Amino acid sequence: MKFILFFSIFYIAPHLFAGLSGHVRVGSKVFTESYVLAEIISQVLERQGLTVERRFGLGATGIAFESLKNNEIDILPEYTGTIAQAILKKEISTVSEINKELAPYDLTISKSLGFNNTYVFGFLKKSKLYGKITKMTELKNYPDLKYSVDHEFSRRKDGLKALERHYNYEFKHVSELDHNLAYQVLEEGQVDIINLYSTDAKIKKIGIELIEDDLSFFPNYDAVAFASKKWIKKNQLAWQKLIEIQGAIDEKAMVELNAMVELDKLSFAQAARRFLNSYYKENRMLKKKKKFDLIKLTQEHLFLVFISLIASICVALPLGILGSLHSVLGQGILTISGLLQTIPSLALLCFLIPFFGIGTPPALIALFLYGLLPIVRNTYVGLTQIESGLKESARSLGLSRWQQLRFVELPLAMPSILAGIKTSAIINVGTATLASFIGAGGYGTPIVTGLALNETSIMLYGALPAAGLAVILHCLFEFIDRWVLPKGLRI
Amino acid sequence: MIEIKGLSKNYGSVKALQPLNLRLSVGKTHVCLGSSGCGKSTLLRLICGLIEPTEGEVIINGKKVSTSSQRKTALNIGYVIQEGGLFPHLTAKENIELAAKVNGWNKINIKKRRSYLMELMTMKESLLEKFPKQLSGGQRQRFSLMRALMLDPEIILMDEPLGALDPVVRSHLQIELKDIFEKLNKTVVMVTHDVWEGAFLGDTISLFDQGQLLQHGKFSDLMTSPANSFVSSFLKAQWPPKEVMEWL
Repeated sequence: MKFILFFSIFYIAPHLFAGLSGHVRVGSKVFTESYVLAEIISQVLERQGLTVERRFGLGATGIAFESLKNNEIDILPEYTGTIAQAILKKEISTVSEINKELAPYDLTISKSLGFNNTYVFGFLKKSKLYGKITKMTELKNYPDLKYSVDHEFSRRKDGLKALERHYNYEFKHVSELDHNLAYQVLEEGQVDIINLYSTDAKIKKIGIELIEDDLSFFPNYDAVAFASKKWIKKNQLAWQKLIEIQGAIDEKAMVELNAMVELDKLSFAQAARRFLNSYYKENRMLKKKKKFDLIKLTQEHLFLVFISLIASICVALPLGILGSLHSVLGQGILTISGLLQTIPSLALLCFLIPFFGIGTPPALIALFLYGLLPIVRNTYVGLTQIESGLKESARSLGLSRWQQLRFVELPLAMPSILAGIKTSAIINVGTATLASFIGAGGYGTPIVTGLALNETSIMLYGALPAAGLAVILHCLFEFIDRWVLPKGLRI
Repeated sequence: MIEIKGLSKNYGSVKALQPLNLRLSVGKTHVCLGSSGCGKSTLLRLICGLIEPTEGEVIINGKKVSTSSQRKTALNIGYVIQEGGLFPHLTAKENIELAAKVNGWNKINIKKRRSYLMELMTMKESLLEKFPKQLSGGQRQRFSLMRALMLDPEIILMDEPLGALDPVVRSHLQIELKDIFEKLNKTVVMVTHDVWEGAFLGDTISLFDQGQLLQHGKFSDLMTSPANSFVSSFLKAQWPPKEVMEWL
């Protein structure tokens, strides 16, 4: 019965979250990679049950940024270099530095999605330059070379002018051409060298030799998800799921994605779907292979259970004692701790997110709250049900109220109190599996993964140890009972 | 000297004890007699300040007893509740020493007092480490009395101390108790429903019915000049049947 309940909770859970999640507007700029990345972001979010509004093709960097800033879109694929140079106009490159600068705009970026799409210069492998030029510093030896750069690069602050200053060399024959057109004129031999992105689909297709940026001019252009914090705050779980793909798209994967669209004529959506399908499948294989680190999961789970249990004991025991001393107060305390228990665990976890974010802290708080009632109630009952004659005896011996508690009432209530603590601990073992829905780890992690992949075997990987832990805890408490319970009460 | 002046106790509309005046003299054993629910136990609780009277007062050695000063009163009164009230989680030794310990007695004094009481009760040392559940009914009662006597109070209150014992143990203990009371010269207030136990142990008898004191005096007074027909029928009720008397 318990097993069925346990699992039905997990089957309901994703739907609960789907119900909670809302709407997202994903933007993209007007080039293949931006479209593809925006599609990937959209599809990941759709898999989380969000309704995605695609506002793709937002002109250049400025327009996209303004849209994000003015709450016209919520998420946008962007590059760290672009944000630092073109938007913030700062010489910074790390994610944390950028996030610090973005804070006033209420915007944030994820970590790198996995590849650095920096500007790079290149020429055809079949051209006469092949073998002669490998580094940017060697370009000055060939002053007659014809270049093509895109509009944005030719005009932005960190673009062509800066490059010339950096290498102390002026490019003489430069034409401004749209990116897509540039390849064409390159192939036709009208220009010798073009600027391109390091993940361009055509690098492989038409055979382009890239020139090494030996004086490190080009900043890092790590692809990131650029998002409004306002949206993230309302969609913590979706955001968490989204940034799971951090690091998953490497240069090779991106070139391939770009090639799928530009060369194989797949739609952006198709390319994104192809990538995500293989990503999740690979992930599943990986996770199956890795079989989860049971020791780590156990540590996380035990941490959640015991820290929250200790906190519950520290609070519930005094509350129970207080309740037993004062009947009105006692009823109040019991009612409130009873009310806490009626909040469904997933709902409680969700309520806590706005206050404590996600991860371990809200999970601990939820478990702590759940741990209260059994201990409060059992302490209260244990103390109030002591035979009145024994209480009278204690008073008649001249013991103070505290001494009565310390020497007589608490020891006599101990079996009941211990039973409360035991109940609390065992409930926590089960409830703690839900904590992984908000990223707190533990045995719930394989369960949640198993649910997402619809793989019972993975779910069992978390469910069985959780059940085992409950049994072990039960035995442990039997042992503690023997140790803590006054001997006179055990015979 | 315990002075009881106009003392009464109501629980809601139930009159547990109707206005009562009594003077219980020092060093004597006073027995409160009556069937269960007659207010005897209520009287004991009032004397040691465990409950507040509805009206009237109890004065011990010139000082009024109240629940607020109950702890102080407790030091001078040993109270043995029905069935002893030994704490089940403590050994016999821990039970009898608890009050002395929390009142800051040192170990030597505690041991001295304990040995004296053990001798008085003719108890074997080996019983000290036993838990109440491991003791016989008679042993439990003796330890309960020892616990009450630990702080050497002037007054001992006993609520049906022998109620749950089998007849043989009971009659042994009655003799023992009489002996101890005489030796200790304490003021004892004892509640029982057993007429002959009361007659045997009590210097004075107070007969209660439904919260009301019907008669107070020596047992012989109650026998020879009962205040009313209830007194005489109560006293006679526990006589053996006529046939047994004739046979005796």
